[in-house]
Amino acid sequence: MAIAKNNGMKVAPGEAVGTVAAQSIGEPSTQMVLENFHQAGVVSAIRTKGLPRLIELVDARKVPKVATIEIWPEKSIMKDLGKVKALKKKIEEVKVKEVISDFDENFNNASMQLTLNKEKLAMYDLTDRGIVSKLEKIEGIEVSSADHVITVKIKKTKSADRSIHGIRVMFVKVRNMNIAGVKGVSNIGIETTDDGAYYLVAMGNNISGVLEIDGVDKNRVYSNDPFEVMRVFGIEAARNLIANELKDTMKVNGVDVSYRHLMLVADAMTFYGTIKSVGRHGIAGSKNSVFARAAYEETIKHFTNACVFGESDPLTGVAENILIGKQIKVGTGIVKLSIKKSDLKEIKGR
Amino acid sequence: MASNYDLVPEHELLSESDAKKISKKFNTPLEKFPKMLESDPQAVKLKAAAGRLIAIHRNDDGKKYVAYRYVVKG
Repeated sequence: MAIAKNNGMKVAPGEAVGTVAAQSIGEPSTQMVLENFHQAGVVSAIRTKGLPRLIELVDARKVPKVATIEIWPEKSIMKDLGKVKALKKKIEEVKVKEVISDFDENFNNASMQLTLNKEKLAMYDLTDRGIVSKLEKIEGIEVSSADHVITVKIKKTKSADRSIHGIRVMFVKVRNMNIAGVKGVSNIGIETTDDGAYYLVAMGNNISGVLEIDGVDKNRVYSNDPFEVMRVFGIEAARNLIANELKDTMKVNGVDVSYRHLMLVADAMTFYGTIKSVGRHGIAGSKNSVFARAAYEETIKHFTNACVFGESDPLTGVAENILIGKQIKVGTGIVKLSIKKSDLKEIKGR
Repeated sequence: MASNYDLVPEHELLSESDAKKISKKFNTPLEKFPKMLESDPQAVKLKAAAGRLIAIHRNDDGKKYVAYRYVVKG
């Protein structure tokens, strides 16, 4: 009984799994939220939801609208709010512009004076010297400090851009310089689980930066940016992330799609070792057949290119066989009948 | 490099004779298997050069199975 049930759940040979997956995801997604509204509340990182998130994942956008990162503290400090807050302070990015009370740009001699805010410095445990040493990493500027005032001067070298535009660009860069915390991780919020443990949710995707911080559970850092996950953990992790994110996005909207369809999408997207989008620039554009590509989008471009480069079409897929009116190799079309030579002779002999 | 991570399943580098057996089992040349770049963090960790096969012990929704990826240059 159980075995029969199990076998019944298996996919039959020749089943058009891709088409079934496309329909299974496509139909319920018409019922999902079309726009992501701005939500009220104190949640620090607002994630993209609903159909926009689904499209973002499937299109494999390099820059997601809102990248979020989930950071779990180590088990020993998980339930200690004070220590979690300390961890948050360690991670949260601080830029130069956040600790200054005033700045004065002088375009005549290409210098800028930054007046530091003492209270803010104390809040972030920063010192003048620490900031200066960080700023000195920027090429082409001289940094000096005296009594909570930092002077930044652009060096008089040949390569230095001393036009007004160039000076402005450099000064903005200085003010946006990261001086503490992990680069790109901001708006950290502390959230609680049901059993009283705390964890951090932040905007940003800098996993490798967060992994270097002590006190972070290195096995639980999670970001919703597939490309960053691929870079840090590899293609298999990215595959799991895409499938999980698709599943979660649909679940939030009360849409229940079998995980197998989502796995298939994730598998197809990561087949070549990197993340490819589903559209014409990705999977559909890398099909073997000229006809199949031309049948999808940009018909003329594909035919002219095929003519110029002398491409041939093996006619193995579905779209091209429908086009030329042949039986498609799907379902029962996948099997062919053959006959033994000895039997053939017998039939002919009759 | 983090590996013991919810998202990263166990990776195993297969010997070349095992790879041939698997290629035969699926009746597919190794070049047609799903790919993994040589520069992939997990491939680097296993020191897998291009042309090797990596077995991935996946656990999807509680269902355990083995998937394979063929390491390519890149």
